Amino acid sequence: MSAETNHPRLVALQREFMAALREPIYGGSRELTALPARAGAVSPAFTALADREIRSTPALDAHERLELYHRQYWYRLLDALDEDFPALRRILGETAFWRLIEAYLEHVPSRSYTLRHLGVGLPDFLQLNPGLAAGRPVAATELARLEYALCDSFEAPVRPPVPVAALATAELALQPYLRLFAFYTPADELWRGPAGPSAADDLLAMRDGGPAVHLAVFRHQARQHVQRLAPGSYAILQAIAETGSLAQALDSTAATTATATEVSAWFQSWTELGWLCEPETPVPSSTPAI
Amino acid sequence: MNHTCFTNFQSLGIGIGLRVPHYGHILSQRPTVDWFEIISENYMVEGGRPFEVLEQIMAQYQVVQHGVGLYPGSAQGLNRDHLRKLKKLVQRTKTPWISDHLCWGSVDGTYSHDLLPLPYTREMAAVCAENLRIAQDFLEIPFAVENVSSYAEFKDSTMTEWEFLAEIVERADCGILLDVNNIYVSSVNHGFNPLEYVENVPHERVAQMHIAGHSRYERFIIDTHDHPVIDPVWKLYARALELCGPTATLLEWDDKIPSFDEVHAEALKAGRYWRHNLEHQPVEAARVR
Repeated sequence: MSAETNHPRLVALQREFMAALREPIYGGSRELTALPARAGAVSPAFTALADREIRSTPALDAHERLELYHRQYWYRLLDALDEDFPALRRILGETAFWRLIEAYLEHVPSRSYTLRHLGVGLPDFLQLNPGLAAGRPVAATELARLEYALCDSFEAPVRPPVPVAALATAELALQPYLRLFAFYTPADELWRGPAGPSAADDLLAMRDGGPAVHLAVFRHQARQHVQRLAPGSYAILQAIAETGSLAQALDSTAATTATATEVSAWFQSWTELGWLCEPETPVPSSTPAI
Repeated sequence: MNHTCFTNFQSLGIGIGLRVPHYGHILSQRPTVDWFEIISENYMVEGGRPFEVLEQIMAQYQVVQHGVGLYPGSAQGLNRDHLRKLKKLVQRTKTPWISDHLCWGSVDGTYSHDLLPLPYTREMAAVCAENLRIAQDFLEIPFAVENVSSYAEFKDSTMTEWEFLAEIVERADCGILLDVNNIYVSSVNHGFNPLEYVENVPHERVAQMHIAGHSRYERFIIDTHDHPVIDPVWKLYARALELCGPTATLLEWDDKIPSFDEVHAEALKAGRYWRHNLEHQPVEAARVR
């Protein structure tokens, strides 16, 4: 029999408690955050949970005690996203950024044991909710993708690089810590540069209608980097990721206008950075089944 | 006096929590530290800088794993994938024992990232004990469960927190990570005598202790780990050492983290209480250590 059926009341209590934590915060709790003003109050369910389950003390009533957990939940998650998306905050501006983050947390709960993964759904959420992007939906979405890739790259594994002599014949893959992007907007410049929303708009206006921006996000010597790629370089890397074969990658990208010298320089750079590696081979688990 | 079976027959002294702002100092200066406590979830990754640093730390120091995400108080049971990842890390770090908090924090796969309170009932104790038994059996090393700071009590509770803790560790046959700061914080928030707590836990099961600072507000205390340890917590710690004997102790400092030397100096204050305790404990007990 499952724990669910063994302990239905305890499971129900924990569900109710979690639902209370995930409600928006109001009043004094909200004033201690950067969230924009929002009228309202916690739901009757929140109040009923506190009244029914939690003891009051002379110092704090049941509602205040539940509210301590409620506000800590929000403060912790808001801080985590603020830390992971600093450039997005800059280009959206304070009000729009915090409105977006609050909406995201209301709709997309954390599904990971670690706060490092909290922002995993933010780029897609932005794409689905362009009205939350302060008039810059494409730029904001692409910048969010870039910033989350930096978080993701931080803890991705490293696989053995393929020696130069074996590149032509070996099965190839790209390092798991390497992420490739073809963006409409200069997300790398937005990430590095503008101090605020209007400066971001100026930058976007200058680049409006320009060619696609190809980027690599990767880790090297324990630091994350963002590097712009030539279109041909991006195409070959992307083809290697898809086919696992250097010959097929070069065939499929034969239309690229790159010269032999350029291609040679790209390969030299990739091998120096160790980007071309062996594909993942499934390893049998050494731990017993639970 | 505690039983060494709860520490895998290892005796450790005063340790420090391994935190990112201190990586550079530790790797370049190689300070003399008895052991480092790592947050398991920070290293349950496939690679990257956390692993690279951990490998270097493990080459020189004993590492002990402390978790924040197993949630043995989860009424739906443990997350099996989490447990598998934890075991992989245990095999890598060779931690002598492992600890996590007596709390819950996720339901239906949604995570709060907090250490949430439990009703102190027989049914809840049975759930926690069952989860801890599964974890300890699967991980194949001693498990120590830590008392958390709390800000709410449930009307359904039928026992004190220390009775609840004692019942769980007896039923699960596991150790205790006694956080004396958490006892102090909860005692103020709930209005109980912290000494009564310290005096009534099963001392022979205390494998490790935590000390830390906290933030005091007008009507409550929040366990923030961002200040030095206050005198009443040192006094509780001294009493806990009297009752449990010299026990591996870790200073937690997780926010507004000062320099490594400042954190280390604060941790080493615990050594005074150790020395006093060793000088005053019975000869037989001293020989056991």
